[in-house]
Amino acid sequence: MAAPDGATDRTGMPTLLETLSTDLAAAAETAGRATVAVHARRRIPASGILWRPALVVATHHTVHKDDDVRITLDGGATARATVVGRDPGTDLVVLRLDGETGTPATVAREPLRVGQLGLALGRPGDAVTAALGVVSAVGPAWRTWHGGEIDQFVRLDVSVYDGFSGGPLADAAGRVLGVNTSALARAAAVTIPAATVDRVVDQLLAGGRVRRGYLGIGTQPVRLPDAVQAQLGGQQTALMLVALEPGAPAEQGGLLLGDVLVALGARPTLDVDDVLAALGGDTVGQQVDARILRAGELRTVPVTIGDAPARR
Amino acid sequence: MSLAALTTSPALAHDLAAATERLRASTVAVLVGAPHGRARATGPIAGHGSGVVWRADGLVVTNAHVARADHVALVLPDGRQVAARLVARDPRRDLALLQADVDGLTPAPVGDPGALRPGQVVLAFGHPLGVANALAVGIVHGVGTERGSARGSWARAGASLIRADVRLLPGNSGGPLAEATGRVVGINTMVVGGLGVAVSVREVEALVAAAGPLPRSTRSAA
Repeated sequence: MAAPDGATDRTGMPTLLETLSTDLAAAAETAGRATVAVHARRRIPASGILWRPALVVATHHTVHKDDDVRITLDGGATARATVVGRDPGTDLVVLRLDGETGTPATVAREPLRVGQLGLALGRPGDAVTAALGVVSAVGPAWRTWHGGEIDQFVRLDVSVYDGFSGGPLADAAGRVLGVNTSALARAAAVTIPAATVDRVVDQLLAGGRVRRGYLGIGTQPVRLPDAVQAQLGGQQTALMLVALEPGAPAEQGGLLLGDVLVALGARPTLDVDDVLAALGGDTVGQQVDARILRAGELRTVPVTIGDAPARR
Repeated sequence: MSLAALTTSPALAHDLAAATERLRASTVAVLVGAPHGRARATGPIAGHGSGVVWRADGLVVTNAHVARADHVALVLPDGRQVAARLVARDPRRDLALLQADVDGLTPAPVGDPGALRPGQVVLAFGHPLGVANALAVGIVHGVGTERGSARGSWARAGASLIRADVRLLPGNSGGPLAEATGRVVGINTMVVGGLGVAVSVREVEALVAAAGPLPRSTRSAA
């Protein structure tokens, strides 16, 4: 067994464990410089990242106001910021600092891998906090339950503490890999990868919001009668319209409550994900054929896809 | 050296073992209501926690919430079970000092909590859930009691605290939280919102100083 006085005392050289410790602390310090506190909700502030000069990225669900948002920068300096735009779909919000630029993060844009070690940093007050995590699962591009498009699914194995949302996942070199949020999945923490953040920031700077196709419907999955299943090549489920937004594209196009939506264009609508997938930002203004089951008969109703109104 | 090279190195496991051995040599189990505790000589063990050897002459520090009796029993690193008596108790800091009639113990090496930085590796050692000599590894989450994250019992304590992203369990209470060198920086005290919270060894030093000259064990006083 090793001597209790340890290697440091004998040789003056740090042990590997100490080197690992120092490296992690250095990574936390590096990425922590670009990690800010965002005071835009009651009680404990949330975190944000200086993504570009004077631009802070944070999470939509933790920023409850748009103007005169107080930001605590590294070192304790305070700045004011204004919301440039929000994308509830990806849970991202962009704020612009008034009269400050800060030190933006060094962002790494390569896809994440399972097993990658990372630090989840936050600033729920004046000081940076850290939690050690591992990328526990990755997957292809996915769509959030609010319809946001995210370039890679990244689930973290990490303890979620105050200030987690809006903070960075940093690698061992202190580079920022993405923005952490607890609001996009029920049980687990998720990282929004840097590529998605870049895209959303660009869209928000250009237009204040992310365009997304919109019909104005609320749906409920239903099982189709056997005869209809046979007509549709075996499709078992579809979506009954249980809500229609007044004046929205679906109502304008003539869809009625109780209609069962079986397809949008060429895409069968087995559940709500299929609808969201058919309503990308580039579909706004296009006409799509809504294939519906009404009074036991299949028919086609053309609908012009609208632009989703801003959601708060 | 890259992180990957570090974490696959056998030397890292060796370093962890060395730091763990340092902690094992200075960590005791604290048994309340055990046969050696004179208050309840024949009763069952009513509770247990961990303690840190502060001086070779048998002075041990633990949590006030662990040392709930005037007389307790300690299981020393060499396996001996000895009686100890409560000589100081500070519920505000949640610290207590115990004195056992033994000498020749290995005091814990003490580090500098003021130099801790978020991300640094920390080791928690103790006897959680009755399992002897259990190690948990984590990192420093934050230090101090800064606004925004100081809530409830943390704020109430007003003491200097170390918050660690490490998994503490019942029985870790009173045991050491150490930096990567194995030097002790805190006394593991509670879990708040999943975070391990340790009272800084600076608070222990203050308590020891405030307690003044402690009644020594009969042997060391002779």
